[in-house]
Amino acid sequence: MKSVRRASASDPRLARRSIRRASASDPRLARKSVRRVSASDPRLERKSVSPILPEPARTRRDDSDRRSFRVALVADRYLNPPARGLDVIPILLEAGWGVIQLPADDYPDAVAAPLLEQVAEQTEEFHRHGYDVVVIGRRNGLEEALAAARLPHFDQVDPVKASALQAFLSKRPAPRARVSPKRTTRSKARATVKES
Amino acid sequence: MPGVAFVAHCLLNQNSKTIGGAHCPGIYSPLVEALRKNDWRIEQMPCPELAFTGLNRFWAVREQYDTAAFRRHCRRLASAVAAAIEVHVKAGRDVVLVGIEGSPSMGVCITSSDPKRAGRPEWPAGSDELAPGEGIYIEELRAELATRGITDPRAVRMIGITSQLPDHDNRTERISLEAFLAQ
Repeated sequence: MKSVRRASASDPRLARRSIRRASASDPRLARKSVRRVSASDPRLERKSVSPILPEPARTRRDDSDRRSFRVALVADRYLNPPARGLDVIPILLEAGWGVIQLPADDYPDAVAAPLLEQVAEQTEEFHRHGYDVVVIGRRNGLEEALAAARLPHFDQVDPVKASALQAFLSKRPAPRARVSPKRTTRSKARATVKES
Repeated sequence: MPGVAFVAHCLLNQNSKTIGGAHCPGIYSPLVEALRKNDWRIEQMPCPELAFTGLNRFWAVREQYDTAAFRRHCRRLASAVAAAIEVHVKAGRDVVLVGIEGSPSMGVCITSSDPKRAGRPEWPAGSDELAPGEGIYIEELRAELATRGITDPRAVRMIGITSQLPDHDNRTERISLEAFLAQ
């Protein structure tokens, strides 16, 4: 730890004072002030901690989180488009979608397959928690990778024009994770899968 | 010459962040704008923490992730990414990696550290978790690249986005990022 402290003194990004100053705006650091309430009294037990936490502070962490609960699996040619190809990033930025990139079509199968496996594993986590998932474009091997992760077929679009993608995204229902945050447990998510 | 930028997963998908850490709905636009401005190709890396500890994970420091199982997981991811990097390096393209400063996994120059953090997720007020060093995934990726003979630091240059740091400033980050990409 000594080396860490020394480095803090020389690196302004690591200075303790600056971290404390920033705690009001940084959700990760703001939580420390919340914890101080409960940590200051060792007599507090699990049941008694919750009532003494000020409501705004207790909810600040979630309120400041700006995620959209919307994730698009996007073919490489739409993220790194050829000349005159459709670039979906401005559209996804405006609509507030996160991206999971699919491997480039020109990667050898030996390179693409492990990447597709990772795509499926990460997608499974979002789907399980009720995030809205769609597929933009196509990629050989994606269907098999998703099936191996026991994922369903997601709604898919092959947009030629920006307007087509905008129309597709605008018709999406509200993500289940956003509608009901409590549906983020494993059991609730499994129930969601059965419903759909 | 514009090349290929391998970027941390959350820079294209803030939904992968620990709850409370998403700075924007989806894509972190400052990075994408800087890359697009100079015609860099974008390649997204997997998030080491998302598939391992899930969306409902706690904020964690390096020591909590530094287990044999997590390193094995990181090696699996690093192997997949290094194979893709190798394709571009062999083709003679400029390759850069953009990580996340302050991350226990993706930190390039700054990670998070607290050897005593354990148990119920509470820690003393003012505890300072930022520390110099690399995240675990970055370490494993470097090792994987080395096994593939990619050891020249100029072959894969690395930088970290600072949005997670307390003193983050958009303009400063943009300037340093553009200077880095222009090297």
